[in-house]
Parts: sequence; C-alpha cells; structure tokens
Amino acid sequence: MSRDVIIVGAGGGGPVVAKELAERGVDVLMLEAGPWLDPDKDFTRLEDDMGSIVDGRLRWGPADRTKGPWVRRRDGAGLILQAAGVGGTTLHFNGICPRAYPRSINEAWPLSYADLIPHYEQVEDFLPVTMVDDLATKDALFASGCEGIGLKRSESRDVSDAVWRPCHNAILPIARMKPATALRYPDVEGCTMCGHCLQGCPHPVAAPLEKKAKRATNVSYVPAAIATGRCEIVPDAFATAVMFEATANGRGSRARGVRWRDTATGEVREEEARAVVLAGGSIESPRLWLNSGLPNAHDVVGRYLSMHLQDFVTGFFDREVHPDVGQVTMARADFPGYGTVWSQGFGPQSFSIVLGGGTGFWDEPTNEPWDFAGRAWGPQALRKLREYHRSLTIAISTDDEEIPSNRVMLADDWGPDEHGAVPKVVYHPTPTSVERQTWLARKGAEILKAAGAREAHRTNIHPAFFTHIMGTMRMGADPATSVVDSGGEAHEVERLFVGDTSILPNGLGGPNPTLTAQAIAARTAGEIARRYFA
Amino acid sequence: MPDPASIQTLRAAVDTITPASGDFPGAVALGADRHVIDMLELGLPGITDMFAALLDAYAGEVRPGAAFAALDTDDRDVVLRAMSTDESQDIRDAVDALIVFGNGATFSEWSGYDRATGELKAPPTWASVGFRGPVHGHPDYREE
Repeated sequence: MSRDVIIVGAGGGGPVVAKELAERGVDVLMLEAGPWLDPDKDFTRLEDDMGSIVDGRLRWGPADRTKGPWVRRRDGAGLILQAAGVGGTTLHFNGICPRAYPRSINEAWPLSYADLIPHYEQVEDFLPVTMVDDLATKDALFASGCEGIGLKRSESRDVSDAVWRPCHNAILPIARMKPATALRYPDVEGCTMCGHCLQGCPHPVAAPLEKKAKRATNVSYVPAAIATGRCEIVPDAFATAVMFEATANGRGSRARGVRWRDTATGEVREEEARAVVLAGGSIESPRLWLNSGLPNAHDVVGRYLSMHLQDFVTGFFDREVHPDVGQVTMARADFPGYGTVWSQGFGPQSFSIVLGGGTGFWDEPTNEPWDFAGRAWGPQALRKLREYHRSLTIAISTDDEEIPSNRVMLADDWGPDEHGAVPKVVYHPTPTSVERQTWLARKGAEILKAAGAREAHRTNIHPAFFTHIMGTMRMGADPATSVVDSGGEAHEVERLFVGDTSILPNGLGGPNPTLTAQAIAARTAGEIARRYFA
Repeated sequence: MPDPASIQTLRAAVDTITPASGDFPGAVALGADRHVIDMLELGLPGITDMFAALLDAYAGEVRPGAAFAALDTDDRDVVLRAMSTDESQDIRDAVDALIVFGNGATFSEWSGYDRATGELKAPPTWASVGFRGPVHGHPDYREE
C-alpha cells in the first residue's frame, strides 16, 4: 500500500502537519510510538500514575507499563522528560505558548520573524492561544514580585524588552464557576483551574475533546485531522527505518517509505509514501535518521542540540500560595538576551524533587539572592517540604547557546534495543549559557523576595534537566550546518521533511518552543503540498 | 529479584533521605523503599544489587568494614554527600534515583492508590504538606 505522506510521530508537531495536509486533500498515515489514551478514562490527574518517568502513563515507553521505559544514554544530560502517546509532550506541557523573541529569529534563522507571524496566527487562532484574563494566587504573587523589581506589564505577543506578562496559553478561558456549580460539562465550559495540566487535562469532566481545556494536540489537531477522512493514525507503532532510494539522476537520495514495529506484538510493517515527515522529537528524529543509514555527508544530523538549560528557584512565604491551584503557569517574565522565567505550579511530588535534587547542599554558604541551594534530605528537608502550600516556584528557561558538540548520536556504550541502536544525548552547556542561567536564577530570587518570600532556594540543576529539547535537525541554508532547508525538506534527501522541535535552529531566545514548532510545522505542510501535491 | 541484603541497604538509604519525624510517617513506613527498588529494576534489571554494593563500598570508606545499613545517620549522610559529588555521573544519578523515586512515592498518591481498581486513599503526606488531592476544579482559585 502506498500513501501520499507518512508522518512519524503524533506529538506536538506531527498532527499539525497531518491536519494541514489532509485538509488540502493529501492522504496521511501518522505513526505514534506510544499509546492513544482517552482523557476521560486514562487521565487520572495523579502525579506518579501519570508522570512517573519509569512507569507513568505518559512516560517514554511502550503502552504495557510492566515493561521498562525505552533507553536513552546520557552524557551531561540529567532527567529527560518525554512523553510517548498521541499528543506527545503536549500531553504534559504547561500549555504555555509564547512566540520566540524576534531577535533570536532574525539573527539566526533562514526566515524572518515577520515571515513567521502569519503561521503563528494560524496556530494561535486554531488552538486557540489566548491571554489569561485572571491570575491564580501563585501567579498574582509572581506578578507582584515582577512589579516589585521594576518590570512593566505587557500584553503583547511580540516581546523585545524585559517585561512581565499574563501568559498566552493554549488553554481555554477560565470557566465561569460559582460555588454551587457542578464542575462538569456543560455546566462549565473552559478551564476549571484544577492545577493538573502536567498530568494531562481531562477537564471539564464529560466535555467532548474539542471542549477540553488544555489544547494538547490529542484534543485539537488530531481530531481535526481525523475529521477530514484522509488521516489514519496508528498508535504503538515505533518507526525503525526511513526507506530511501537513489534519485532518477543517481546524484542524490529520496525517501520512499517507513518501516515500523508494533510495540505490542513485535510485528514489523512497512509502507511506501510519496513523502515522509520526521516528527518524533529532537532525540528520536536524528536517531531514526542515523539508524536508517540516510546520507549525512557533513555529519550534522543530531548536532546543535539546545534545551534551555532550565532550573528552579523556590520562595517560602508567610501566607498561603496554593501551588496546586490554577493553570500551572499563568504569568511570566521575559528577559531577551538571557531567557525567560515563569511561575510554576505543581503537586507535592514534583515539589519534593525540585527541593531535594540539584547540585550542592543546603548547608553550604551562598552569597547569592537565594539563601540555600541544591540537595537536602533528612529532618531539615522535611521541614521545608511541609511548607509546600506556602511556596512559589519559578522555572528558569535560558537562552542557551547551540553548539555542534551538543548532540544526539547513536550510543557507543550500550547495545541496541528492539528498535535499533539507542540514542545518546550529549549536552555540556557553554560558559555563556551558564552565566545566563545564573543571571536568570538571580532574577527569580529577586522576584520572590520582592513578592514577600522570607527565604529562597535554588535547585541548581546539574546535569541539565531536559524538557524543551530542540535543534538536532535544524533548518538553514547551509548543508554544512543544517539538515533541512527553509521549507523543512532535507538538503540531502528529497521528499524527507522534519515537522517537530528538532527543526528549530536555536533556542528561540528562551521562550517555550511548542508554538513556534507548530507554526513551522504548519508552514512545512504548506511547502510539502506546494512541492509535491500541487 | 534483588538480594535481601541489598533490599535492606536500599531501605536504609531511603530512610536517610526521608525519615519519620513527629507526625510524619517517613518514606519506609509508606513502602517507598519498595517503590525505589521496583523502579530501578524496571529500568535496569539487576541494578539494585549494584547500587547496594556501591553504598556499602562508600560506607567502607567512612567506617572500614561497615555496611551502609550499619552506619548511623551522620555517617550515612557523609556517604550520600560523597556519592552526590562523585565525578561519575552514574554515581551521582544513583543518589538522584533515591530522591526522585523515594520522594516520588512518599509525596505522590503512590502509597494510597491501587492502579488496578483506581481506588485512592489520600496518603498521610498530603495533609502534612497542605495538598488537597486531585480535584475537578478550583472556583476559589485566587486569594488576595
């Protein structure tokens, strides 16, 4: 059987490509390595059941949770948070959808920021992405701290100066709720402020997918793609090879299909296609390329990995903060040139790890705006953990430098798994990236103190904590430093495109990458249609 | 299946990270040590025995001939600090595993949740940290 297009990965980007192509009349098969969960039946809102990196429902691993997660080798990389399943990492993302900082696009991309705006608007209108019209307690506290250090409020989506902003989130507006309101659809529509964004969003209860509050792709782009009648989705299908052949003139290669393995039965299948889109994320896309033996003349596939060098600063207050209430992030502060920070809500499990992990020890002296940093255990840590309800955590997302030695490669220190050679994630931040991260951590602590925190803790994460995984299949004009052209098609392989965050040439200046990756995915879909299905 | 002595060693490590204190039950009372071992074994079968051997080897540096489980709290602290600053990422990761999976079980729903039936009994740690458990929404989401 032959398809028009096979998309590998139904995460944040693949479904955007699928919907945009299917609406243009293109026949699409979309493969997803993980399961296809039902928000109403499977999203339990429980931190460990949903989020455990080893056996959570959203883990990077097969649907059968009695089996182990899929292996990643690491060099300089710490925890790697990825989600397998239809919806991918949008299942557990905060829903924050800022645009990139214009300067980071204009200085490093083959496109201008102005070129991107129509594609941003296309995604923002569809999901939709809207500015929150109120703040939960924790976010109002964060905002007061921002104002306390002199940041002005902005409501713009386009930011070039230091400001604080109510977030633009891919979450439906806050529901109108009265104390007696049944928190079920249709009595409520919109976000019920439950605080479970990170565990997948099943709310409002009984709402149809198009009315679920957090607009992960499993409830937005995927249903829209299916509604065309031209998109088939196969879950539990782990792609193991892109099949390719020499072009007619013998001077190059072109993609001709995909081989995959059913993760439940072990059955191997393959199908031909006129074009293939890699959308398995910034680790799996280069792994699949390299395991397929696709050409890589400049050894650039997998390089220029960036990940925002994240960290956390937590403040303790003499008042209730309720970090478990509201959209997990409703306010942010932007510092172009350094990165961005935001209020981070979560449950007590995540809090205990943010407070207990890191580098250094609580009882070591610090000359920084935070009062202690790094690890603690025992009774001292317990006393702080019990202050969960009076704590506000700020997440830090650094404008980290992308360098070729930070990369995803095939592991040279581990055997292959059932899907081929396993990936190895290599990341060592540059001194400039570390300086920016430290600068942002200081700003975070200053914001907390200005908001009234009596003391602050920096997690001081090292090695790096991976959530915003970008680069590795970057877009550019030069095949020596990029994998795909400005239309998303591989320099070295015709009819092979990239549709996930791996296409991003840099870290956008620090803002969360999902919206920009989706905007580029929408643009790439247009290029696929123009080049091969006109 | 890990060696019983290894299980005892991991239990001592988990108890050092998150001990009982006052009305707080402690990780071991909630079974978090079992969770740590389950997660380690699911991720990499056989690693519990290696991890326990590592803890004992470091313990021997603090008190020659002593196993980790035989150390007092202060000496266990010395061992965990030494492992936390080892130049090997794998050894530093071992301490992270204690924190991530030990605290993960202690402060999440894990000790009160039956995955098979979906029955949830709020673990005692939730009340102690001021977490109200999963809800369908918060109409009163903002306090001035």
